[in-house]
Amino acid sequence: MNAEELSNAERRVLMALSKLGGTGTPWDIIRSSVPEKVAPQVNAIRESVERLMASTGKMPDEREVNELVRALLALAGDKKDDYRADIAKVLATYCFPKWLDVEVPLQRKGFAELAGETLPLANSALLKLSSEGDVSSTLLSQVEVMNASSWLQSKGLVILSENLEKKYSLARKQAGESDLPERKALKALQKKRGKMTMADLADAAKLSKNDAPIAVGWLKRKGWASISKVGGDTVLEMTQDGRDALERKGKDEETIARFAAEGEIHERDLDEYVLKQLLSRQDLLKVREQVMRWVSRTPAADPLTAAGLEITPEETQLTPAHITSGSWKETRYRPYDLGTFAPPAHGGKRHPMMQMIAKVRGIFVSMGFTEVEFDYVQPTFWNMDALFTPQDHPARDMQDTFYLSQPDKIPLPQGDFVAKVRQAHEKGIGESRGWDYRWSEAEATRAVLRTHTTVNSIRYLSQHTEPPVRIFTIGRVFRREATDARHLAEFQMVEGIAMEKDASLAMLKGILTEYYRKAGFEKIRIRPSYFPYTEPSLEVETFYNGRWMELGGAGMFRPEVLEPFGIKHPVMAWGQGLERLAMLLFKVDDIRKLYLSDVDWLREAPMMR
Amino acid sequence: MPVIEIDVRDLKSLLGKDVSLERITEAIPLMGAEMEEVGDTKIRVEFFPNRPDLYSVEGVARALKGLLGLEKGAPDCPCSPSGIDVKVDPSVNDVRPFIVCGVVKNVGVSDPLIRSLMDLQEKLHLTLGRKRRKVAIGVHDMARLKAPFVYRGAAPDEVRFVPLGKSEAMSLHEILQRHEKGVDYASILAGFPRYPVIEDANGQVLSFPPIINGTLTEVNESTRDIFLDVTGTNMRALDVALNVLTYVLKDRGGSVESVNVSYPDRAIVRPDLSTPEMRLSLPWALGIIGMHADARAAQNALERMRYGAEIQGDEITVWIPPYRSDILHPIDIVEDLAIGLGYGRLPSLLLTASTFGSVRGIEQLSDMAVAALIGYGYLEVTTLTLSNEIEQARAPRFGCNALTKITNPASEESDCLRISLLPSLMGVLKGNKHRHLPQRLFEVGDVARDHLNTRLCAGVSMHPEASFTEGKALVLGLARDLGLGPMELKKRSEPMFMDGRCASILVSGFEAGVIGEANPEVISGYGLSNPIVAFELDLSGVNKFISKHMDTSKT
Repeated sequence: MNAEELSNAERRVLMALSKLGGTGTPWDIIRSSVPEKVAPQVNAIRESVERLMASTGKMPDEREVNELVRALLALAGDKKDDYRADIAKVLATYCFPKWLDVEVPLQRKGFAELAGETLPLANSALLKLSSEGDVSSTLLSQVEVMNASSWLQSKGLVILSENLEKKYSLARKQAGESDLPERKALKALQKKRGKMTMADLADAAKLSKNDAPIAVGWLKRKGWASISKVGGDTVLEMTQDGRDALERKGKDEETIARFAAEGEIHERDLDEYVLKQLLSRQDLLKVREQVMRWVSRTPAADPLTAAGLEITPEETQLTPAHITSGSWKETRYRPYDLGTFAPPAHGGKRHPMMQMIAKVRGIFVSMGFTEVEFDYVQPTFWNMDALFTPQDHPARDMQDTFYLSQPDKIPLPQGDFVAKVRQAHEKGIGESRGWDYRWSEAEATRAVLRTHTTVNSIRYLSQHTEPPVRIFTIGRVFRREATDARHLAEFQMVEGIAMEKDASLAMLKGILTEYYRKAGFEKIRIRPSYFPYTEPSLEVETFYNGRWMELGGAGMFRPEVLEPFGIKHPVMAWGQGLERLAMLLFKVDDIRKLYLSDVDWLREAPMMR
Repeated sequence: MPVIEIDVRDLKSLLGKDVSLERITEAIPLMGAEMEEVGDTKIRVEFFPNRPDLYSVEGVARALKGLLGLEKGAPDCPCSPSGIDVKVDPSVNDVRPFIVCGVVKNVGVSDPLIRSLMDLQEKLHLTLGRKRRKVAIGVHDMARLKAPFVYRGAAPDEVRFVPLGKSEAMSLHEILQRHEKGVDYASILAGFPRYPVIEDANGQVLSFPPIINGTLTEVNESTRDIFLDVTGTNMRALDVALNVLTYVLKDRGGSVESVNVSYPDRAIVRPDLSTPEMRLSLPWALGIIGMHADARAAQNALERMRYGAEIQGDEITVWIPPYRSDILHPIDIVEDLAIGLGYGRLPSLLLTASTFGSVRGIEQLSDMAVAALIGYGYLEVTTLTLSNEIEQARAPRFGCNALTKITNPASEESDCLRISLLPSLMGVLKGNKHRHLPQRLFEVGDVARDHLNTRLCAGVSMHPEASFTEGKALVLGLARDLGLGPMELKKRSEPMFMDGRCASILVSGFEAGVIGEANPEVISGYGLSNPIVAFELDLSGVNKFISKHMDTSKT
């Protein structure tokens, strides 16, 4: 391993480890890499940052933010105006990395003003600070230490380890100020000249009901008093050990005093036996567990450190001047810190629904189908009558279909097929019995918003009556539905039809198999279904997420639909609404979300395969 | 679509065999139905509207027996004359001209049967009966009736009887005013001077169709003999309803008897339980299905679907059970033949003719616009075509005079179709008020201009520095990318845009769109506070213009 291959950050870590005797926590490494001259300020800031970072999930309050800002401004000295934005970036990167991810910082007004609208890397800010404040070797954050250490570990120069450490402190502050119960009892015994009944103890030693038996227990355990029966009374008598104990405190009491003075004490700094003893007392100590990371130098690093490592100047950005002057040949460019935050990039993108539509369109064209489209506004003649839907059919209710007041009527098309449609409804056409009612021409001229794309299919067929016909249509359709999480009054429908001389249900199954295979549904099955204008009819299902799920409907157009237009060959048709499928594929649980166009959702949504 | 609840034990007893629940739930979807819910004791099934004969557990059992191979062919229903006459008076001609009746004797009426009957009656009313307008059904206990019966029109206050659900006699008029069913269905009789009633030989009112029966004939567990009346406006539908009910009661052990119904001009006997004959060609049927099957297999399949069937040479003759209202054409038999042979056994055949796929020119142009705008960093959105007049009032109109207006909107927010995409885009900006700026959004979509679909492309850019210049640069770029010759801007005034900062986009003199800075009043009207520059291009118009004036094949 050659020192040349080490970045400055890696070198700093190794140098710090030398000072630390080979092993240290990231925080130790940071501390020891700070030059003495600026150590107090830098460490003050670092500590604040550490503290804030430790409180994960919790937003720092305004006061904490201000404190940090002041500390950083102090460090910047009279250059502070130049560094305001940089300071904000430091804060952003070091203190509130979570804010960056979710882009919420702008909700916090004071901070937002400081931070500006974009929050790029903090390192450049720190570098500027370093050149002014001579803190060039201090520039290690926890993240940088860990990144550099990981690289060093991959080079075999350090080992990273972690362990769970415990720190203890008094559960209640007062515990450090008063005597232990057995000490109170001992003092009371002394006043009674070394002997008293158990019954008198609580009063004499001012012990609570709970503490009195505890005191007796410990007196016995520590051998400070003996207990004997005299008549009906239990009598306590001070021993020699008890008398000695009056002169000096026990180790446990000394440790409590240490807690009172020092606050928190690491478990490695405590006597194991004493700790166990103190822990056996209820509610005396509390524990805090912390995962500690350690970086330890390996012997492989020895030759490098022995040869002496130094921080060499390095550039962060390759510039046009470097390239044209050729200075890049002598310059050392800082290796990119892969863990550093980069702001999210959001370009233009297709809306998921439109991606889906484009995909469907591609499938149809690849299967030799041609796209057709007609208007949303249609007479019921095309939307219903031509599709053999009787005029009293429930789907024609005002409840289910949008009728129009402008235009309210659309004249019937010209052609002898109108009379034949009437015949199909009234008495039947060809071998059909018809619906057996009086067909109303006025009813057929009422204007509606199309309720299905089949209106496109029949309009096209009315002009193309000879095979082969292979068309598809993708468009919005309208149903009078109350809008909720599962329903919209307007949705996207796709439909394909094919007329062939020898068309059959089996051929329709063949088309469906290919169509859905291209759409990504390998496993489909069909079962009987019903649609007013197809016979036979079927439903297509696919095996998805462990269950059979409906994909769409299909069938062969009824003779009553075809014969008025003189069509003599079978027509296969299939179709489906796209929204339900889109909800599933895009993991959207509210159908309305597909048309609200939440910019965040659109920006983050992956593109469709 | 009607959902029926089936008691599994009841179903099994009707099947007459302990068929496993698994087999039942596998077979039901094969009849063209959807399993809504499967429990150990109850299953719920949704049937299609063309099969009213399946709206009862009895009907389901009848069909299942065929599918499961327990019975074959058209179910038999013997019928003998009851000697009962029903006279139809011409006074019902205008209001509700037709009636058919039937009698079923010795029915073991149980509580579940009563409920099943009421449920079936309700579902028939709703579907086949078009909410009782076309068909209404009355089920009566015959015990207290004296034949013959009369079906006639009575003046609103002429007769009184105690309707179901009440304890006092009411006139027809009062029932329409005060009885729950009267209120619900009064509209069917509105405007008629006489209302239909059925009376017995003693002048007692059995029924006031299509509203309510009298308490006189209420069916309960001691009922043995049942009289059925079905009234309405369409004979075919009446017969189907009567036959569906008759078969249910027959399946419950009743003996069916016929009733003579005499109209002024003719006399008929009902129920008509004859099985109409239909002939079709076997090769034609199998050709439509696309599957090979020999005559025996085909006959067997049809018999399993509960038709009487015979095949001689290439000709199939089927006899259709009288409760099947959905058989209008031989094609309907073909579907059942396919189901009987098994949809699961259908092969997958390939298309044979060769065709070449293509998309419409407008889609190609739209795709170009989308690709270009995404390149400019614009995010695509898609919004709804349904809009409201208030929102569209401010939109650029481009000579579109007529808004497409809805007579029966589902909500106030959508009472018309949009004529412009811009209000939709403003709505999207409003919804994304708290999202990061800049927001540059576009939509390529259809609007209805003078009721005709028109493809538009519109974009908005919202951020503190949004300006006309930004918009103009974009539109120039877009026009260049779409290959639309020289483009110029012409001053224009639009309510949605600021005066002096709005222009028509002219492509070789053709008015292709509009561009402008949004009026601050409009911006704040949408609850927004940043400048917005917006444009809208008429892609349909541009497409026509291109094909007319810029035919590239000539250059």
